[in-house]
Amino acid sequence: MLQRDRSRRWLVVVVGLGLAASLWPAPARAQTKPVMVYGVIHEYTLARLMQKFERDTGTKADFIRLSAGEVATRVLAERQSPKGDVIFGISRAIQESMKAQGLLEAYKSPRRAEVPGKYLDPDGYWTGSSLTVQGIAINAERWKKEFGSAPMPKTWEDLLDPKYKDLIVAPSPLSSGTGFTFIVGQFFRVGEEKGWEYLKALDRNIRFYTPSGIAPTRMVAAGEFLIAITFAHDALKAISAGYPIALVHPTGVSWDVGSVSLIKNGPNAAGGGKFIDWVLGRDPIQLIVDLNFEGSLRSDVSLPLGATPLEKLDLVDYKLDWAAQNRQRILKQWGDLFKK
Amino acid sequence: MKHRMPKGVTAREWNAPHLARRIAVDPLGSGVTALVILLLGLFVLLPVARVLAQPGQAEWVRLLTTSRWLRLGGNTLLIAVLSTASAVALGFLFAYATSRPDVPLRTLFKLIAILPLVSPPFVGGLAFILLFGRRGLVTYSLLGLSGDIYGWHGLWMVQTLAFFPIAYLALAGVLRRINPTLEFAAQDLGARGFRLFRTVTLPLAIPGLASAALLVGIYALSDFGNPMLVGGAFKVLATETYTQVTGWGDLGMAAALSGALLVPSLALFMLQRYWVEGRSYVTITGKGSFADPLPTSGPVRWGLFTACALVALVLLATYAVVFVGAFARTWGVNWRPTLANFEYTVFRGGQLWNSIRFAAMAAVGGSAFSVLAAYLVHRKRFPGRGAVDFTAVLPAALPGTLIGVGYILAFNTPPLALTGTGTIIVAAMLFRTIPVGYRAAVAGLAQIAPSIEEGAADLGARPLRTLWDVTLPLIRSAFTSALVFTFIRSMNTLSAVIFLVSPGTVVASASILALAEHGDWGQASALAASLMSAVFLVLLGFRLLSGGRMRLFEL
Repeated sequence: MLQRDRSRRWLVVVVGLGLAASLWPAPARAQTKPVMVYGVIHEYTLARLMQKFERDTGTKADFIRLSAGEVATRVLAERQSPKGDVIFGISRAIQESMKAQGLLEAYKSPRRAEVPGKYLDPDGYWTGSSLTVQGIAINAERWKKEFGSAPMPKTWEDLLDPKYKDLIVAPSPLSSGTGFTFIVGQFFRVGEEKGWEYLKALDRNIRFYTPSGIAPTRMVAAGEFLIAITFAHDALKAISAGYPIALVHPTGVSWDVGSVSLIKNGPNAAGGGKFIDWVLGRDPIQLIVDLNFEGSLRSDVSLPLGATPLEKLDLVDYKLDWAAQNRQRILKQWGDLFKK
Repeated sequence: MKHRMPKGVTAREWNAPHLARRIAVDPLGSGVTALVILLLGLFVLLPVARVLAQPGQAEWVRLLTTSRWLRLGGNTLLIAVLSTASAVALGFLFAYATSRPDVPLRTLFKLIAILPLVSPPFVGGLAFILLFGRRGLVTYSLLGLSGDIYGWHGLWMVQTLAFFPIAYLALAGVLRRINPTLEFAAQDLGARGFRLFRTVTLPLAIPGLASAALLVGIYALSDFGNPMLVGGAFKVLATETYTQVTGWGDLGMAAALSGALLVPSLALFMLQRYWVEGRSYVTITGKGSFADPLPTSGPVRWGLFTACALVALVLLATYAVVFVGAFARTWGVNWRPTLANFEYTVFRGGQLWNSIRFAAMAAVGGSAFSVLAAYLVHRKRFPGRGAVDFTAVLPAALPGTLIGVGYILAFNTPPLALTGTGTIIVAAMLFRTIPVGYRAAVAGLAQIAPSIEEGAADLGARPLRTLWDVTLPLIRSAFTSALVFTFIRSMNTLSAVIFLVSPGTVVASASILALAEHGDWGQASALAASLMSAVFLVLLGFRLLSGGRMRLFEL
């Protein structure tokens, strides 16, 4: 008898609580329809950007932070009834693939005049917003302990030295844009055939390839490994957070462009266009540079803290069309060659 | 069970064909059954079908001809077998130790055993690396070792710790249900020590062990967070599925890979089904006994205590690092205390509340639903019973990524336009975790002799009354464990909901991943620490509200 009463009262409490939770009012929605942004850059930077957009224009903007592939998947899955308006900060390779699938709407913002022509899609489907360059991140503290005053590696060939065996981590191109940018960068540097030879030689020193692009830098920052293949802004961010990292840019370094685009049939296309016009302006780009350490495509924006000026870097001649057309083949070949 | 013609049923109805007769005899039960079938079809089968219809023939061919994925398939099976075996063993150890009245600190161990479930994704794994990695606080700073945890051995360790609570939850209820008089009787007949354990306790725990192994095995097969963090060069299929979506947005290939992952999961399910069934494990026969379980001998007691204490220490250290990191200026470099990391958590405080709200709804709905489904499948006869049984445990075999993508595909357009709402997140949380409650309820039901229910029916109780007054109190522990498990798991679930969140419905775990992925470990662990505290506070609140009667940790 006691057992029965107990379990009953207890059931009532639980169900009552559940009902109370479900009846609790949802957060009130804004009166005017907000712009919906799918962003791939850092969550906090996006939050600050949306705040600033609302202050500057009076239009509300919401965002979700996703990885590049998640944006592509989500936009594809939602194509019957899109929920987002703008894609922000994503690599050109992903933009090209979404463009080919008919998921984007051409939008030629008046701001495109301020962006150098090679960082734009000529058909108007995407517009470059930031320039990111690659480099080598080295844990300086560990270096001092293990290699003393020996010079740090300066060229890509330096990394082939057998003394770095199992000390290097690199992102996998199969799942990370950073990894793909790195390997095609080697092809653009020395040609595809020699590029594969280089990658095979480097593989002997690599401990393993990480699924995500930022993981190598994070591991090197924590001292788990000594050397990481990275984008400069990931390393600069870790440096500004206080991690003992030295960033090296060898000659013939790969790069990419973060870009903005309008989703086809989004719920608020007009607001989306307004956001794109706004975000390509000087002040928003400066905010991104300051918070996210990415390089800008505008001459009136200052460099990220600790970054090397563009004219002192030797960038490879990145052929976007070639990379997009050969991506599947390169990834398959890479997957067959490298087992880590 | 004899079929008597109930009052109010005409002879004509009674003699109608089988199904129609059942509906006539028990219209409410039939309605509920139909609803359960409909919901399972909509929220489990439909999304899976939508995803599996996604890849074309080319993708299936690519899957079978790419040597990399065949190798990864082998890795996946290997680590799943290793981790399942060790996690179930550890879970059994904890469940056995805490079921004995004389093991010191057993209440504390019960609490610590559920810690890994409260841990948000990625942060627990990183804490482990910071403690035991190449430069870990324990391995490097304390012991001066510089071993390498990246690989199958590190993954094995992390998965064992991450999944043993699932085994523990499945086993604790079962062990507590074993009637102590059986052990006393065996002892009186001369069986002692290990012989008693092997011939009486262990066989009685077999349904629990089997369902624990099934659950852990499927979790291990579809785990992507841990292999991503500590797997190193040892890659598995689940990570590959996840990264196919997150990296290049290759939905077709991801769908094909999750399809491949379904094969071993289904095999596990079949094995469990045919191994356990056909044996009788009835120990509650109505002749109740409230004796304490058999005390343990000295060496066994202290052996159990030492093993539990060691594991508990490791887990406590892991979660202490998360809390310390939440207050540290720069994770791993500058440990001076600050509150700055919480600024962002407060700034976006809505996420934490969303997590609590959605998880509470999923927990109440999910545990009621899973216990109900288990009851219907194992106590009622209706066509398609086997299919319902199968569908109720299927979600555990589905990678979260697949569920998330499937939900978008299935619920983006009318008549069921749910994307962008909180409902879709609650549904994803709820249906992802029903296998746990369902299995626990089935294991509980397997130990209750139908004769008790038949007795109630013979005394004139209608089916609903029998359920409410007889069966439900007896499977209360299954309901409780489902409630607690679903709530905790939903608070931390990530891979499915990351595809479903919208402004206004963003949950804390999605933010933690975003922060962690960018290396903002301070902010990530601040939000994680808040999330873990919220879980404990809510559980404590439930316990206080129920007057201390709800046995949250004695599962």
